[in-house]
Amino acid sequence: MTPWIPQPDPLPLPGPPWLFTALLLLTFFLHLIAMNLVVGGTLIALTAAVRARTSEMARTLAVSISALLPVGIAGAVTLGVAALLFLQVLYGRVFFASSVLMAVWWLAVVPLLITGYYAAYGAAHNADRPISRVRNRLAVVAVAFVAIAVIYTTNMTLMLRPAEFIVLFQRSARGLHGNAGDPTFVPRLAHTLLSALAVTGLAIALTGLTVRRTDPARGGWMIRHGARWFTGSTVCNLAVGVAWLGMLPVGTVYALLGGQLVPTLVLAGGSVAGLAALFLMLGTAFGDARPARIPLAAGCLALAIALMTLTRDFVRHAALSAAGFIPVTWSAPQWGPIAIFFVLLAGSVGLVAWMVWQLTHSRPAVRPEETKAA
Amino acid sequence: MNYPLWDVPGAGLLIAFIAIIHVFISHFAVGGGLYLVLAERRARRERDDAFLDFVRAHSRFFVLLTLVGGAMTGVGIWFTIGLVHPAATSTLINTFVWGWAIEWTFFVAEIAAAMVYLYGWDRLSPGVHMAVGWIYFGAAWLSLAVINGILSFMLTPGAWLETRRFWDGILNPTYVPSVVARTFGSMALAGVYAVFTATWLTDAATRARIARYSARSWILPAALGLPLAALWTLAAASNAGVPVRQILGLLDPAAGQPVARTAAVAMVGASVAALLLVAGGVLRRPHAYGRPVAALLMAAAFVALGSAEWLREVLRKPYVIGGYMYVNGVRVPADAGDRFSVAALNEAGVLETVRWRRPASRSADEIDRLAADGEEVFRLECSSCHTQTGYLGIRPLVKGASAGAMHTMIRRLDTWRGRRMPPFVGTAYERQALATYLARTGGATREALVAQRQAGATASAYFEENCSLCHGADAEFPFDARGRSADELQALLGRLPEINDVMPPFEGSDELRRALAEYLAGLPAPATTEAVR
Repeated sequence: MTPWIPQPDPLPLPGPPWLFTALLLLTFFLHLIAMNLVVGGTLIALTAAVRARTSEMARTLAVSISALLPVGIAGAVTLGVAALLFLQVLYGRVFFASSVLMAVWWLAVVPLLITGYYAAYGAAHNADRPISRVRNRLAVVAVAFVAIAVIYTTNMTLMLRPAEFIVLFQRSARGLHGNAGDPTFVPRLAHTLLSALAVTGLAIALTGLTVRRTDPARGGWMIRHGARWFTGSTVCNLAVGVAWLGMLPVGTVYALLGGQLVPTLVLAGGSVAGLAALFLMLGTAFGDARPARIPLAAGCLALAIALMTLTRDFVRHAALSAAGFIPVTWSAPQWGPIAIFFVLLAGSVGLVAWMVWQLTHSRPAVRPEETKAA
Repeated sequence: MNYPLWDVPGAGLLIAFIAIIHVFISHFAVGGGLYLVLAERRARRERDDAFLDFVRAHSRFFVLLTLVGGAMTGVGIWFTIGLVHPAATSTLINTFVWGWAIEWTFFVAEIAAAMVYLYGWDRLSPGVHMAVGWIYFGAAWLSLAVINGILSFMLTPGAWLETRRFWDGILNPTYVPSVVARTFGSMALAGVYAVFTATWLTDAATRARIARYSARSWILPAALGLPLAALWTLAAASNAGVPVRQILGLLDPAAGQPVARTAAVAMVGASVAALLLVAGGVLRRPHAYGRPVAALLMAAAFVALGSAEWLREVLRKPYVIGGYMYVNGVRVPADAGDRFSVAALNEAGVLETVRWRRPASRSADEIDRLAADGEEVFRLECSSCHTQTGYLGIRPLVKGASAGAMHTMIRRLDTWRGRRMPPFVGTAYERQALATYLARTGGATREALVAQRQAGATASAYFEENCSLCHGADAEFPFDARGRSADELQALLGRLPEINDVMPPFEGSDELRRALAEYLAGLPAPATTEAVR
């Protein structure tokens, strides 16, 4: 074992490791969807806001996305908290160590998040003002969230390099280290940002299908616009994904490309699903709109994200195993609290579903002053 | 020690800074939720449209503040404790991950309910809207109830220390009183925030109604319950083994913890100030109290709540998890295979065990090597609380001290003059190294350090090592024999703890005791009036 990997606590894991792994993967997958929509939504809304002077459609898109950003951020943060919790249970020893080495940047996530979140509310609440107000606030959100993406990529890659920990620590313990020298850093970050654009692009196209029922022109524009964002960023991501794969350690690449059956099948499945989504959307982006294909493409993309989440977990596992990280297997499951958690989770999801249903299936009331004005 | 140490001065203050802001918002997030739904019910029942409009506006402020500022600073605390106390965070995660997971289910419902409540004013029927408000409050309070279990566990882990069972940890001795205290605190803050936001109303009559309602139904009842709950919490902590009265200096003010006493005074003072502002400002002139009064009330509440959290932190010292882990990450129980327990570190040494070290000194000079190793020991064992010259700065504390005096102080660190410090852990060499580093930090010259090492068990060396830190010529209580004979002093030396219970007993041979008595009898009288006899 790399001597710089901290010792496990003299306490057992409070649940079976497979359960923590399953919850980590599930919550991270959900967080990834929400995070992609927030980051991609911000960037696409910003470009739309820039084009708003010449395109009313773009203006409407920028304002519509801005209105949804606060809800999206709440969802992304809430799901991210859960993923981070389960990550700390399984990989806390390397995660805490890498976080300390880049402590200043890691802590900067908090003010960046607060700034980005408030700016998102600012953009949402300025929808009926000049578009420049929305655009400026979206620019702040974009800077904050791209910075957070850089910081997260740094930590998630640095924690996979325990052998570097002591070198960095002895150089400085002030918490100012980065991990840009890691060959996987740039392709991983680029992959993250391009994926965000792709997911949001497809979400815009999907929403366009609904909008088209009441406003055919706008719905059609959204479908084409979203499809172009999706296909453009996915084509770029193919190249970036291959580059990322090439930067991984040889043993990991070998395992992913036939050396180990399950990781190979998962990566192949994810790639095929992503390509299928791309081909399904190409026609919509550059030819005639083919609405029926869009939900199918969304399904393929969701499958690709799920399988790529598994691949990401395998890459982490392989890197840490190579570094000598031995997962803790000593467990004393707290079955009572575990059962309570699942019951409450079901209750909470049910309550949220009920509240959202109430909100979306109710008609806006006319306030007394509006009646008087009329 | 198991994790790399972030080299940042005053790391504890960083946690305090974020935590106090978070607590001030998150308690409002609980009490304010109840305030919204009850105020909405009252406004609807009385068909008071102006009041209802205020509740609507207040809910927007509420969501913007709590969902962004409150939730994100909560994430911030989590990030910060992981950086400053990774070992403790890891212990808490391994013990209470399902507690946090349960809390997360409440958090999900809370966030969703807050948004639906805000966006549902014009869309939902009054009944459904208020039901969403109740869901919000229920989830928020349950969230508080779970997190309070983890916070109170850190002060009084109770039976968990023996059983390591989840429920023993959560439902610890101070759980119930502290959850009651936090609930009262939330109610008080709900009223304080409403008094503040009401100052934006232009209609004086509405403002007066809201001010009276907030003060009479929220702040004043909470002000009655909160001190009782706080005392209940302190009593429960005391019964659980936390020396509350000693720390607060209730038995002997001089022996109390200065920081704890300051926090307690600030808490009581700010609470009284808040009540005076409510009685003399808000209730006396409900139509016309100004924003400065409301802002001062907010500030007083902030100081009161922040001081209470600060006091809780100080009461916990020298532990980060009571009876289990010291603030420097050293564990108390000697679990098999644990390299970071007191016993294991005393056996193997800190420098040998901890891998997160700077490169060792290669100096040929023994004093330089000792000081360099001592600096490393200081960083590992002391820097989680002490800075060099800032908050709890070590330099002024050791100014003018000799290595011998430091050596003695380190040996008795955990009982040193009523301070709440972890015991020193490590080998005899590491203690010597730390003493040398501290003496050098305090200004001792290299020659003095060499001379100290060469001094034998003489009376003056014994006085220097064991007495001078408090009773040296430049110390706080310089010794004054006041004409006592060597015989009298020899007798006094035999019963030092009886004279003052913070003094350790004389530990030496009869010959040395006699020699010390003669040495003391020959010391010149000090110039100050603080001398002890």
